[in-house]
Amino acid sequence: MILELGRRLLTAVLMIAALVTIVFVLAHLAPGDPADLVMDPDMGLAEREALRTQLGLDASLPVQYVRWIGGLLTGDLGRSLHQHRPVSHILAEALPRTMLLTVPAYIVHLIVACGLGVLMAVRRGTWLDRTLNLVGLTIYSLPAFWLALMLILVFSFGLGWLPASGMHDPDVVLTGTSNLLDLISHMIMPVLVLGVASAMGTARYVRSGLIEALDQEYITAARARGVPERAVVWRHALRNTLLPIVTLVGVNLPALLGGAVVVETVFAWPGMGRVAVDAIFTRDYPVILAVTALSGVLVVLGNLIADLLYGLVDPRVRLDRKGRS
Amino acid sequence: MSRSLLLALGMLGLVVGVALLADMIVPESPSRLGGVEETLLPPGPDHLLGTDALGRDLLARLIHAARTSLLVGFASVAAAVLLGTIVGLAAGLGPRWLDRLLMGLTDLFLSFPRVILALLLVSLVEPSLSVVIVVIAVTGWMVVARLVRAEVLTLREREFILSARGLGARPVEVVWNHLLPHLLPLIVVAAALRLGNAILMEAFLSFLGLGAQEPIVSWGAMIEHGRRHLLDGWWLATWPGLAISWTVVAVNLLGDALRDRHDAGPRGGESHDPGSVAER
Repeated sequence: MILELGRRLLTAVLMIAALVTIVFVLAHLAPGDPADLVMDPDMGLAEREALRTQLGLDASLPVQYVRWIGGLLTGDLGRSLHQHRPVSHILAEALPRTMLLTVPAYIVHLIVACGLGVLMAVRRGTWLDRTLNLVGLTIYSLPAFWLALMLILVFSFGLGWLPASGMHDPDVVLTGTSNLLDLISHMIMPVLVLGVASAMGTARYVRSGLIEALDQEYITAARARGVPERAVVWRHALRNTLLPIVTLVGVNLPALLGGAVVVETVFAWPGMGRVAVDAIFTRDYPVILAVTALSGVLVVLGNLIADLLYGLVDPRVRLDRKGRS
Repeated sequence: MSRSLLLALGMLGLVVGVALLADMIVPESPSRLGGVEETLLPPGPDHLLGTDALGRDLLARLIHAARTSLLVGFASVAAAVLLGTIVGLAAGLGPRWLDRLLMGLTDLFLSFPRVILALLLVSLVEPSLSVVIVVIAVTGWMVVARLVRAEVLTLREREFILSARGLGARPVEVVWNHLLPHLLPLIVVAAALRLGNAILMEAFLSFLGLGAQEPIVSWGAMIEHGRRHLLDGWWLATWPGLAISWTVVAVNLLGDALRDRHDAGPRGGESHDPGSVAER
């Protein structure tokens, strides 16, 4: 068990190392000199060289790589070429804001997915099952950035119920409860787009898992004992269905982070996704490198935690018995 | 043929037909600018879907953009499936170290959020249609590789493969004559299920201005143009979004119907990567 845990951790560390290296190599394959971005065209040659030295761009690629890795390990992610401040400060500011969207979105996602999945499984083969399937597939197929725009069109510009973008209303200074309400009103649309639009994928898992569970003998036994149908579904069958869903958190993490890019772009939410997109448009390499590396690291860690959780929650699945996927 | 398969083929057929016949349906260029009095016209008899801020006819642009969307979708998925199949075959048939290496690589690619990886790749070069195709292919082969590898691992122990080998068939012959025909349904279903994601990805990259550049018309870029006129022209962003949705619904229906028909491919929610708002 301990050995297996060690192996898992080692794999995760190796993954992260490989990931970070790939990002570094990719970013430096790009044509053009990042120094050009921060340079004044009128600058003299000597000044240019000084700036290159200051940015660490005069060193050879391997040296830059070692420096960068060393920085990563000590939490120094370099300085943004565009914002002129440490990348770690930018990320420390943006990551919590992204979590503010992704965590509630994932909760919404799970609730909608379980509700839909259970309903479809219980009514399997009926018109309700087929209709929900079709509706879910349609919602799943909508481009999220367009859905977001249409929501803004209707609820912000049409009805005037919700703010169209940002995290806070810039015109008024709010405190306490009204401040919180303002934040929540800004969160509603992004969270819904992020959470609901993708729920159908998970709802299908719940549906097929639950249908399988309802065919098991212990369910027949429970029914024979006179357990009400509602309790059979929600307490007995669903509990066993939800176990695999736990590991989906890990699988869903890249999708959630990617979704955050889409949603933050349209709703002008100042999180990681926006930082990434802005950095790409300004060719701000230290920031691009850091964001990509960080999202990869988060995903690897998420998968590791989900694996460990799965082993903890379900005694049948011990870590050492899980084969290669 | 099931009803949903017919529905899917009908819906997709409409888009493909419109894309193929675009030049006959709309003879004038979709980039033709209108006069000042023609800008931001709401849907009406002269311009059925209205005009944009440069007076361009939205119906003409919508029809021509179908080509971009389908071209990028089909080309990138074909490339991704080819790449995934090669990796899957190599991993399933090759020595153990190669299998470990390739599957490690697959896991590595899967652990990047696809949108972020695609943005990183696009940002390295000048945006263009071919770049978008390559980027979507490079970020979309992993699921196919895993599926093919898993299938190859079970197939290669089956008697017909063993006997083909025993009869002295060369490895290439075994793959081409015996393995691939069995993998084909799986690959077709996987391709259909990837297609919707590819179209959504193209739309998002174009929306960010990182896709095909003018004068190539694309639905994503049309939405970006409409975004700047949400207040004075709701129709600008609405139509291209509906067109994307129509196409992707058709493609996803097709994927589902094919999977049910061949009983191949991933089951349940796995048919789409779970929870992938990312891939729109």
